[in-house]
Amino acid sequence: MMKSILDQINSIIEQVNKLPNGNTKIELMEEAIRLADVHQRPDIGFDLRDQLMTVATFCGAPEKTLVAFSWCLAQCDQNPEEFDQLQLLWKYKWVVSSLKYFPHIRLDQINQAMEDMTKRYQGCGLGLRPVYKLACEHAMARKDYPQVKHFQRLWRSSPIGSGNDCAACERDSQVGYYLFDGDIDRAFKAAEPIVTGQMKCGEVPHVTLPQLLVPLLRRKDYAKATHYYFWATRLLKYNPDFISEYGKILTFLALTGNPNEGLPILEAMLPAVMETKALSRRFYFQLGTSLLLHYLQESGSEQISIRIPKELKDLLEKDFAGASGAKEIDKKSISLQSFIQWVDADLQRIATLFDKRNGTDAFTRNIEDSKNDRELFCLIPLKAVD
Amino acid sequence: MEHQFRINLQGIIDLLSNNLYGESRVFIRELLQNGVDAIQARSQLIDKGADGSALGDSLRDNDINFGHLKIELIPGNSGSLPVLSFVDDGIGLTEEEVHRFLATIGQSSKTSNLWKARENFLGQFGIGLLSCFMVSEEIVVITRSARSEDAPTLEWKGRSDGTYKIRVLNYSIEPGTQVYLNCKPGCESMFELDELITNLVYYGGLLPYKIEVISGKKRQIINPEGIPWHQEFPSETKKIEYLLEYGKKTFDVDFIDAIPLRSKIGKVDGVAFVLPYAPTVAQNPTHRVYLKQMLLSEKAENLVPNWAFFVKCIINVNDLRPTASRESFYEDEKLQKTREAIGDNLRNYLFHLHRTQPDRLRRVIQLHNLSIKAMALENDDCFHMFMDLLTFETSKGNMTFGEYRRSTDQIRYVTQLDAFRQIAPVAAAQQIQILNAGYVYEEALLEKYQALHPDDELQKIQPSDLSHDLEDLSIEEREKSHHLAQLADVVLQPYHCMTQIRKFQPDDLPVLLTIDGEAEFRRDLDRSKEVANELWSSIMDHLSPAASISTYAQLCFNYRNPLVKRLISIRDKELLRRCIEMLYVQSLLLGHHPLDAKEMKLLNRGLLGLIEWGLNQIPMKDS
Ligand SMILES: Nc1ncnc2c1ncn2[C@@H]1O[C@H](COP(=O)(O)OP(=O)(O)OP(=O)(O)O)[C@@H](O)[C@H]1O
Ligand SMILES: [Mg+2]
Repeated sequence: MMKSILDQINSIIEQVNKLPNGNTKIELMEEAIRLADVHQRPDIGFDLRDQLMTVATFCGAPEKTLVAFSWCLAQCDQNPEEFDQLQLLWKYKWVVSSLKYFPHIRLDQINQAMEDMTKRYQGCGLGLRPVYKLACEHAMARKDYPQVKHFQRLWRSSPIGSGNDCAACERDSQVGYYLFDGDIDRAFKAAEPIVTGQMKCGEVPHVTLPQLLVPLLRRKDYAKATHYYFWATRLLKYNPDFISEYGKILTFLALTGNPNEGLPILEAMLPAVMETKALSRRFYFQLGTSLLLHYLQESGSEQISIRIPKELKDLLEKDFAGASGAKEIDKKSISLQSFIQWVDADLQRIATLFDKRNGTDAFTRNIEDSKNDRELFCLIPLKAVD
Repeated sequence: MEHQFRINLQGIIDLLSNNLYGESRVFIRELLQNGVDAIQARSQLIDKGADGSALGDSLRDNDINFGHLKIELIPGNSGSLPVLSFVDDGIGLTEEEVHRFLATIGQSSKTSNLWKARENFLGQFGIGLLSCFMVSEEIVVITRSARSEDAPTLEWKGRSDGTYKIRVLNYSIEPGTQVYLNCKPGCESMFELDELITNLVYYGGLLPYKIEVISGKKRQIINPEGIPWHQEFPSETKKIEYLLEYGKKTFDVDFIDAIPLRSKIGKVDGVAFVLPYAPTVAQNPTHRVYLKQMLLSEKAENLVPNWAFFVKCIINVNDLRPTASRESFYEDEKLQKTREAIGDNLRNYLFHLHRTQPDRLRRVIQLHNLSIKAMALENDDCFHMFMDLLTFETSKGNMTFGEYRRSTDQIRYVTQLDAFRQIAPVAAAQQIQILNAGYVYEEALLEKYQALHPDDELQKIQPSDLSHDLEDLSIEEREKSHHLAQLADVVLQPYHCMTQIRKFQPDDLPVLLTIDGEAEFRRDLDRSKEVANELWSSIMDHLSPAASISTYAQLCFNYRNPLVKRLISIRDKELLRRCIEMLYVQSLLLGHHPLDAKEMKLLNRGLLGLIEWGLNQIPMKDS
């Protein structure tokens, strides 16, 4: 006898529940979804996609969330009796937020998505605060100052409805806004409940701490910076969802002269960085990588020995070997010069994609700003020799 | 004119008990803490005397023998509710101190710099005593200070309405403090002997001073043995036996083994118990942590390395800073080093097993494959020692990495579960060994292997790569099948599928369909696009740059298969097209791939067409 489809799906879900978030979990969920689709069970497919969205979002696969979401939204529209839109709308925030990672999605499409979200949130009485917050964040990503101010005002003056982010996430966004605005004091004030542990959730303080590292260096509060560094690395656990955050960690390590702490992170995260479709995340990671590699080069290194994904290795050998004096890349170590060239070209390439889409120079300026951060350099030995 | 804030004590108590303390039994922790602190303070007093200062000189002789907590329960009867007393022979309080510390919320005698070893105290906030109001309307404290011989015996009565009374008693007690609580209605369970003992053991089981419970004629020492892992044993085996028994008593789990832990940094020691089951992520083991031998938390989360989820630990910490929530420690280099030291303990245990009891090690690894994988990833020594012992799925069944490595000249692996499923049976039939590295940590482990063994050429393959390993056609065979190859490519192009013709086992398999990760994602995306509204469908179109070759599926015809051989001999193009389409759709169905609308149409049209074609054959034969 063939196992019934429900049994098959249940046994997959059972496996899934035992796993930590990660690719394996995503793949198993997708397999279950395919089974449901083959057997034309949209009801099961809906629930499974709902779960997939959570896993994919927190494992750094936002494109999979988006695809699952579109499918679910369509089901709700076509069969409002059968499918509960409310449950789905909570996740609309994740999806709209993720649109900023993909440079090929047009601005007008993003705006339309936000309009659609507005309509649906209003229709269900969820409140528009989270929509304004998202709009503000999108504007920040492209450094559109008037729009940032406009939406920030709307965001902070709208009531907290039932569709709102959790208090910790909301607080984290406020910290992000003050940092963007250059109001460092208020950023730290706002971060207080997060860094004292009063406000926390699945991703806070994980995403908050890395944001504060460079500002702390700027304030010369090295003790706190070190503490936050240790705390953050303990929480982030090389999760591909935190690619941008790791970029900030790398920046911190470069600015404090700790390449030996940085290289293992580079090694662990590069496969995810190469794989991600979320290009802006890759961009923020590469900002840190670039600083770290330049630091190494300036302190006299020519080769580094870290493990890099095969496709990157091929690339370095093929396209970036020339300028390094045709130095052979041996099996263990790679030429710093070609690595740097690749990273900087990658940064430029991604920046151009986004700037073209946005009609601004925000990303190119990010590269400049990041270079200027080098003046914050201060040697802080993190691993005292014992 | 200035005024003083007034505080509604009842309000504060409600606040604390609902938000800070969580459960009412913590009053036991607070009373134990205060008793221990008082004894600590008294011994510092004496030490001071020994240092030559004036204080304590006169006390030294008769005060050597103290350090004892007595808890007495007077059960209630029909007319009265039970009463509980906590008696210590610590430093006691003078009248001035009673006003200043006992009766002032938020004032603590322990934060003053006058103390030589202030960090030895457990209390610091000056609010612990308030927790007693959760179980008693009134707190009575009888105390006599050990600071001077003629100190009076004082009685302080504090009420939860915020008032207190103090008077001098006309008799003298031994130096120390007695706290009396009258059971509040509704809190009877806290005043039951069994419950009381359980709670005392829970919080104070490891405390360094003798703790005794008395009820009627019954007397029991709560901590007769002190810290279990500090005791002397005739042999290592005896020690482990004892610790396992202690683990069983504490957690009611039959652990497989007990690993002593010790770190100089953080002044940490304890035991790690090896779990008899592999924990799922949802039930990741939590650890019980004591701070200076007093229970701090049942679920401390950052003292043990992330990868160590094969153990549950009991740990005593002397020199790390707890965070305000008391559920973790302050993250800094010291904590990180402590964590590393604990990690070293666990690794050394496994290394030791490796040398002395390899069979046992194998069992532990089998049970805790995931945790050991995480560990091997983290640490090169572990990797060298354990990688070969870890179990993987391969196209020839489950085997350890060592077995696999020895049985093949080339290590080849796929990193997606679905990819493995697509090709494993065919690979097995060709005697090609493929490793499934689709489960958690496995891909990273293989990458690490490659990095550590640069001379072994590891190959990460996509399902479609398998066709390179399948036998190629000869020139004649190629010529003969050329028209099939050409037509198949044209026919399946709209479905994002490329084709090939090869020879492979088993003969009865006509085609092998492989869909790589990217192609699978495109199929999922297309399926969403079919139903999605205009907006989202157009967004999905722009999700990533234009489709590349990697988003194509691959259909490989088997030249050995009789059906395929017959296809090659068909000259009717229309019929051949139908057959190709049907083989494609059928292999999708076999692989549990949902059909998109176009493919569905293909299936329907194809079936009808074949039926029609079949029917057409009949009259022709008849005539
Ligand atoms: N058993 C005792 N012997 C001597 N003094 C005591 C005793 N219990 C309480 N005190 C005094 O009362 C003060 C208040 O006690 P309380 O438990 O409220 O605060 P704490 O122990 O100082 O700090 P925490 O709030 O962290 O417990 C103490 O600082 C101490 O001076
Ligand atoms: Mg106390």
